[in-house]
Amino acid sequence: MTGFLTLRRVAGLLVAVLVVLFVLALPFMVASGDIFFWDTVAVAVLFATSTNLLFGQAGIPSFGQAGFYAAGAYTAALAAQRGWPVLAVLVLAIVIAAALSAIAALVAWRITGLAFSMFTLAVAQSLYSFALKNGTLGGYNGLTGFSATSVAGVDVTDPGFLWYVVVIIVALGCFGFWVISRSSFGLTMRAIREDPVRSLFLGVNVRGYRVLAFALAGAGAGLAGALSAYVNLVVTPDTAYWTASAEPIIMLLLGGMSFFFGPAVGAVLLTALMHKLMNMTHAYVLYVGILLYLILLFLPRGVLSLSEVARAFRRRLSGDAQAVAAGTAGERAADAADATEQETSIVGRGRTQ
Amino acid sequence: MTGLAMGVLIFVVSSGLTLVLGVLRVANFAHGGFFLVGAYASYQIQQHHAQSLPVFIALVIVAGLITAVIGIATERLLFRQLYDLPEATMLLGTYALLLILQGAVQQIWGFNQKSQPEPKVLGSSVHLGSVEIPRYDILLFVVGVVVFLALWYTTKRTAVGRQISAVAEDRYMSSLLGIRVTGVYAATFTIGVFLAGLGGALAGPTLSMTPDIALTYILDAFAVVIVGGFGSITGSLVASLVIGLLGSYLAVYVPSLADFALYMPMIVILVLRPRGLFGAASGVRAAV
Amino acid sequence: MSASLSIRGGVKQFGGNTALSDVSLEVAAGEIHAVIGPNGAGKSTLFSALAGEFKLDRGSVHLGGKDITRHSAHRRVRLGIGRAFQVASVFPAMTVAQNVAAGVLSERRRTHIFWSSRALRRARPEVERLLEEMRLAPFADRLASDLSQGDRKRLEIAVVLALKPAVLLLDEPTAGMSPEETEATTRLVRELWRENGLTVLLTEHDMAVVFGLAQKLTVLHRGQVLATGEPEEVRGRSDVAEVYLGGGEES
Repeated sequence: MTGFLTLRRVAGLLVAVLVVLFVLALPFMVASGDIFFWDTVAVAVLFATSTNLLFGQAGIPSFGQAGFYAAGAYTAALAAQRGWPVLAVLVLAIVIAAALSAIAALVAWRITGLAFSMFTLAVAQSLYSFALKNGTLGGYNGLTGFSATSVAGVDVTDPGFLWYVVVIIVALGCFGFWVISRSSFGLTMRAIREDPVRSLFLGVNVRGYRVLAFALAGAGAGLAGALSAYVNLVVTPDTAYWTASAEPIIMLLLGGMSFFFGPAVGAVLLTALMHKLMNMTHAYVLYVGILLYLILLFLPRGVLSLSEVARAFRRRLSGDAQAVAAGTAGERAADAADATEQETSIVGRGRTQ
Repeated sequence: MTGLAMGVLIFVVSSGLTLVLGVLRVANFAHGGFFLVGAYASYQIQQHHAQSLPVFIALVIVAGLITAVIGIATERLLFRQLYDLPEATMLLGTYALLLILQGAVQQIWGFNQKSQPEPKVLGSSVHLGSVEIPRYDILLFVVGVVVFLALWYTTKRTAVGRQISAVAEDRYMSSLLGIRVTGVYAATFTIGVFLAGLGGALAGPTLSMTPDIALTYILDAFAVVIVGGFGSITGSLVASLVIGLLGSYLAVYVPSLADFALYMPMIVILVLRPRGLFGAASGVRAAV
Repeated sequence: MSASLSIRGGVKQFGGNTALSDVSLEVAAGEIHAVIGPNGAGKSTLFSALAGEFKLDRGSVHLGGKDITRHSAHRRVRLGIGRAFQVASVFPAMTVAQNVAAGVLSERRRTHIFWSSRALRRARPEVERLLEEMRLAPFADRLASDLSQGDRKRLEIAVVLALKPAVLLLDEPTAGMSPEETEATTRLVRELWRENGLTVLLTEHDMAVVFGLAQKLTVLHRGQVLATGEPEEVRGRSDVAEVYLGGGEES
């Protein structure tokens, strides 16, 4: 190993540079309608990353994150309609979504396992139903009549500038989740995911940590929702419909939930894929379903695990018994961990970073 | 449609779901997909003509059977692969199957609303005091009772039924006692899917049929199963009727809260009595 | 520092089965106390009750004189009860160092900090010290699942020690071990007890370990305390011999 410059690091740096260049150049490369598409990709990246705090790191399956996303979106719309400045709106959306998430987790204090997953579904659907039936929230048609004109003094009526602002906020949000994953709380959550009972006997109040995890994930979802409000210029109830909660989940599965950038990769792939599919056929859910099924069966640890899968495959092919036995530590950990029954966890372990 | 009739429909659909949940321990989102298939199959074979009552009943049952066959094929080919996966992954797998079924229906029949008329002979309503009860609702009541009795009889009196109960109670012991667990799984799943299809076929005339109904009924069914208890048919019945009645009451007097008829009992039960009204104590494996 | 641990009049029923029936046990501070009995006697249930895994139907639990009956499991850990399981429970997909770090962070009440990784870095010296003590330093960056069973037990002890417990609950520490490993583990337990000033409560099937370590002995049978006292004294009692040679299973 050549010290700091390992292959992985170099590849990572290269990708980072390319991404930055892409972000900067986008408004000059495409028409403003396409910038809108990339705005939604960016928002999806944030939403999926926030959801992975629960799925990938804490091992808590939540099927209702769209509810908090919608809460952020509606908060943003209502505040923006009243002329609040954009940054204040975003902060408000974060606070409200985080509070709702915490309340939901508190209500579900005693609930575990499958019942808990169903509960998260019920919460999102309640929020959907509330948005649909409530007059102030515009009912079926939702809310419009707001837009972002300037952010912190910068004029964003131009889609290109809005794009930059969206990307910056998404990047900040993801950075926040990065810090969380590396913090002691991140370590504690991983411990809880692996063995909730052992964590309990480590002195960790597991249920309390679930509330905190929910609040943090909810904050991210709310921020993403608020951004989506400014991007779409309309907020409708179906952003909270339970199937909308499945999208970030499919994204994090597609990219790989045990990798920090897995959800981001998955978000880009899925959004692009669905965009293509929706233009080709109306029955695109058929293909999304097939894709999800295939991922679950054949690539459960996501696209980013492909290099590991390929390495293992090559080793097996070459018949090198010793190499196969040595394996990658990550692989065997994955196998060992899969063998132990973990009720709250989905397939996907290994990365210790 | 009266609340009781609504309850009956939910009961038929959710009884299948609760069976699968109690025996296979799988929360099957694809159940909504089979509901959809049943509805559209019934629509297809009736050619959106109003049929006479006996023919209607026969065709509804046929639709249920068709769904069951599709269910068996799905179980063999797609579902079985999911058994060994962790619980939450399996949930997502059934969700994938739901999407596939819904997409297939969209592909074949398109998005436009279809309507399946009620059977002839029925027609207008019966008056019971001041309450007006559509005749189709009466048919549904009867069907509901029949289904409940049939299920009760099957699980308590027939050999297959008792095996199903045994496996639901204790899978490991049952296999030690020589019960072919995979066979029981297949049988349970088939019955469950049949019920979903039957429910769909029965619900057809009451709905504006679009592929979206796969999603609407599945949530109702899940709420009922949670309130009633995993694996309990009686629980399903009670919960369905409660939720059906509560829903129609709210729809009339407090429309903005109508959907809460669904979520409130569900949330209350989850908080106060997570195993459901009639669920087994061992039902939900406890984590921390 | 060590603390006393006791349970008084403990009763626990599971369904129709009475697992603990009026169990009373006093472990003095700094004592090594062994609980023995045939399978099904209630040893695991007793430990779970002491650790707070469930609530007793009747009776109370005291730690250092304080009534902790109402406290949840994680609260009891905070108050000083450290528990090691029969099958070493560690976090498989985390490294050895991370496992111990989890314990250190918990003891320092830093587990909730989500805005920075400073506490994690600050924990490193303590983690390294514990790894040295348990002779696990070469494995620091290996995944816990890669370790042998014996090493895993040592890792679990390291994690529990990180919590700076006053009382150590050891559930069959030498289960499934070879004679050499058993010998090593016995020595380890004695060392830890001496150096950290702990109170140790352990269950065991291996009588050699029991008589080599324990200062006091309690015999459980069918959820009840049959005898308690100094090992030699208890060993000589006929009703104890009866339980081991007559009814119940033997190891």
